[in-house]
Amino acid sequence: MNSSVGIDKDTDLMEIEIGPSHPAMHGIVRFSVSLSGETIVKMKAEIGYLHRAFEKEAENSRYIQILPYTDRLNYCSAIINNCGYSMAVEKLFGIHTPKRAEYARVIMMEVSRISDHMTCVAAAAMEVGAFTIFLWFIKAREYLWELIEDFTGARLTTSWTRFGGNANDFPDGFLDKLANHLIKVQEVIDECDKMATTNKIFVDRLKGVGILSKEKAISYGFTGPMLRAVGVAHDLRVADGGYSAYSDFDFEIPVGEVGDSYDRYLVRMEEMRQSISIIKQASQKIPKGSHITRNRRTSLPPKSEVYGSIEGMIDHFKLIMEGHTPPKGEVYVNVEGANGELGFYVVSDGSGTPVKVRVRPPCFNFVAAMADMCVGHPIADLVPTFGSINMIGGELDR
Amino acid sequence: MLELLINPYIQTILKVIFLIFLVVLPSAALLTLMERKWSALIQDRRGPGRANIGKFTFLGIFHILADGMKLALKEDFYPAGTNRFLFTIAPYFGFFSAVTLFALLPITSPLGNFTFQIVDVNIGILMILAYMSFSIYGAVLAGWSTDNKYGMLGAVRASAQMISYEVFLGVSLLGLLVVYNSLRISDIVAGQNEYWFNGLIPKWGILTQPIGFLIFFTAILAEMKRAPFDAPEGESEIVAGFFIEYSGMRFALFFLAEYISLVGMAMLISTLFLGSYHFPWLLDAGFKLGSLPLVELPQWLVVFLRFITFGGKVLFCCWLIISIRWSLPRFKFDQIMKLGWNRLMPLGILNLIITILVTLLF
Amino acid sequence: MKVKVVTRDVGFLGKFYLPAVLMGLWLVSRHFFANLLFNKMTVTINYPEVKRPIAKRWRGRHRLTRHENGFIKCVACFLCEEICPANCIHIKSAEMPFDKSVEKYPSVFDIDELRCIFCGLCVEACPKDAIRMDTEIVSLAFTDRKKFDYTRNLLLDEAPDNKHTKYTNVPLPTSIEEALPNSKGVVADDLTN
Repeated sequence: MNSSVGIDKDTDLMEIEIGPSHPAMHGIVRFSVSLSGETIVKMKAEIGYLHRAFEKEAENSRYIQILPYTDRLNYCSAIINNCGYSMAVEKLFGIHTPKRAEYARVIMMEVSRISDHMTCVAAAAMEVGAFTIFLWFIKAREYLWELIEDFTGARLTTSWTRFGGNANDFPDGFLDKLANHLIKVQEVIDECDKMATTNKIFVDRLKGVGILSKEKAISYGFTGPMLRAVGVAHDLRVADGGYSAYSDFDFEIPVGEVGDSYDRYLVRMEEMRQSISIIKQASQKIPKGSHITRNRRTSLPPKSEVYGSIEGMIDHFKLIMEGHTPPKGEVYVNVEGANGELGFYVVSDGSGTPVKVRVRPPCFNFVAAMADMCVGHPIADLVPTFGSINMIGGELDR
Repeated sequence: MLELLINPYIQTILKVIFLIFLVVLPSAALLTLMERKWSALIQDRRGPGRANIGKFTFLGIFHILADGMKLALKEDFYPAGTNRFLFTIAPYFGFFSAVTLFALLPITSPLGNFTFQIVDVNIGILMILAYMSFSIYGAVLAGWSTDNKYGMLGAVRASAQMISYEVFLGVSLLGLLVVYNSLRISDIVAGQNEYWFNGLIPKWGILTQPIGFLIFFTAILAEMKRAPFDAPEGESEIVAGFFIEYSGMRFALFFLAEYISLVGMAMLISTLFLGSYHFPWLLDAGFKLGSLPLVELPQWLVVFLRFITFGGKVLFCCWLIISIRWSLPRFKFDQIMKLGWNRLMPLGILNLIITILVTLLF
Repeated sequence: MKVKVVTRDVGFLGKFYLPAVLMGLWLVSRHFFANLLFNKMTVTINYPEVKRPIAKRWRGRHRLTRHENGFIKCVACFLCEEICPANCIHIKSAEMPFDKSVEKYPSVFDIDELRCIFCGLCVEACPKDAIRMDTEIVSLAFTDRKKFDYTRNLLLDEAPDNKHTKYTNVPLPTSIEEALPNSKGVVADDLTN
């Protein structure tokens, strides 16, 4: 408990349960809050309302069958989860994906990142009452989801990557549509920027709210925009040489100074712009090649071989009936999810079913730190703080 | 029969009936739809338009009926631990204060001896302030009687906010009273049809009292608990604040009272600051701009034009209030208080001093 | 690593409420009047009447494909049932009584569309191009759960309604029409020749 909080000795604290069914608790979480007047003096987060036993399911599914489950982790940026999981299994196999597939992944991951940040900023803005910004961002997110839909065949549950590449190559006319939609998205971002960033009411709501010091943020295990907002320039996309094809692109890592909700908002806004720049760079120089490896141990043969040749048919049947059988071992692969470090720890015993798939959800740490960020502040500050940590229930509870 | 109509008491009763059933309720009901439609336009949506009779939707106008019916058919529900008496009467305070406002505001200029205003008391402004205070009871009793913690928080916020902003409401009007030198509404209205610079610029409240207008407008928004001052309802923090437990027709009363008071406040702003029903350079006799010759108009036409003008002004104010709601985030509760006491209050007093000095010197 | 420190400075105008209000009003009224007068920026549609175009790759409701002669392509190899992460496909194979060119055919092919997660793995797994998700049916909405159990014949044909036949033992068909409806009446012996 924060010692600076003054408690009136003559009155009782007001115990109030915020959530799980509460307008601001999107993603389902419950905060047991003790109020003195309007000030929070004690706070406890209760999670697990969206627990779906991802890890237990993974123990009973084959590698490729886990892929659709990963869509449901962070449902705002399913493709990043897909890629993270696929990269883990690829590392287990020790295979490389073709450059073209990597570029497609980078483009789609960045599209997902924008849509995730958009959802976060929009929801946070809505919670402080700016409903129009919310709907404008949702409009822009729709453009991004159209792109995802064109590429993957689904808007939300993409299930798009495969081990050693992607399910499919760029659709016809995709790059034109991408460029076109990015302009529209940029317009909406600029418009909302004008509406909110220097709006005194908005700034007052976010500035100085939910501050966590650099040391505490690191000790809580913060990653992603939350860590960058406190001033630590750490981004897995560029740290240690980066993963996938990120080293080919030139972009900046936005960092904040103070680490309050306003910094998180600014970092996310800037990251959206940087993501657009990455997509633009990537779409300029897409290499030729295949969208998936031709490794018969990891990827299904092309349909023509399945229909036409007995070898193709056998490979096809073996891969599906037995599943992917990576060599014995364990890997940990972390990608820069929209929220932070999204890690997949996969243990294989050489059979078609993984022994364990553990996910490191970025927002688990943020929710753990919520009490530290909110105690001593009025209840109205809980809302923008919670909005700015971008808790995604599917990822948190798995 | 005709003698009955000339009787001022009968006239007043007829005016009240006319006003409530033909102006207040329809305009409030329309505004509920307008707010949804206008916000849809702002947010690039289509807005409500599914309620229909047969094939006809008429831009969603049947949603008013549908909403009303839905609320009317809901269960009459008392949550556990409610103080039933207070819970029942609470919605009527807001409704009462919203409706009574209309009694004091003229819709258009008098036609002969017949005034389009129910009462014109010599303390009009004070009465308006007094009536407005009533709605605080509604919010407080509603929040307290439901035995809900969110409701309680909302009620406390509402009472603090509304009582504070009543002060600024009064302060902002003081300058206006100095300028027009009267508490009577009709005097203020008449004063706004006078002109500076040889009949060029009308002495509207917004021009004589620009700072007063800003403070008044802000205070009005806070008084109505409308965004950006809707911390007492604080959707995302305290869910719905003081009326969290209300449903059915009692909720409808709160809802309707909000929109009635929206119309009422729009009328009040138009009356006090936007020249009321006066169209610039439209005098009782006809148009007269500066030293140009008078264009004569019959009195009924002048009255009608003024009615249209007033309607337009009210509509504009409603649009402004609604647009502000959809363009701004919500204040935090302590910021509302800081804005009030640290900024509006000194500004209002400064405004009053300047006004007095200017009035004394010129 | 290039680092960019975000600017927290809100500028001179950011210190006051009024510019924020005016800016907000300006942006809002731009949208308001553009939509009111020209209906320019509206992005939503009146959904059931107007439908937005969906992507070519959209994974919609499944369908079972046929050969040109009208016979079902599925050979009941169970690959789709095997790969399905949601276990929503139920196949029962039977010996093809009429067509000697294929060994098996699915006497039962149920997809529980309520369990289906529309991942598209079954389509990928099919070695015969017998199942596809290109029907462009994006919304399955019924008032009865049982109607989500799509049976073989419904998946073959665009049937609007659905009867509950899940997990029932379907007796062997007595005629080719019963086994494979709408098979254009091609006699099985003709195919073997």
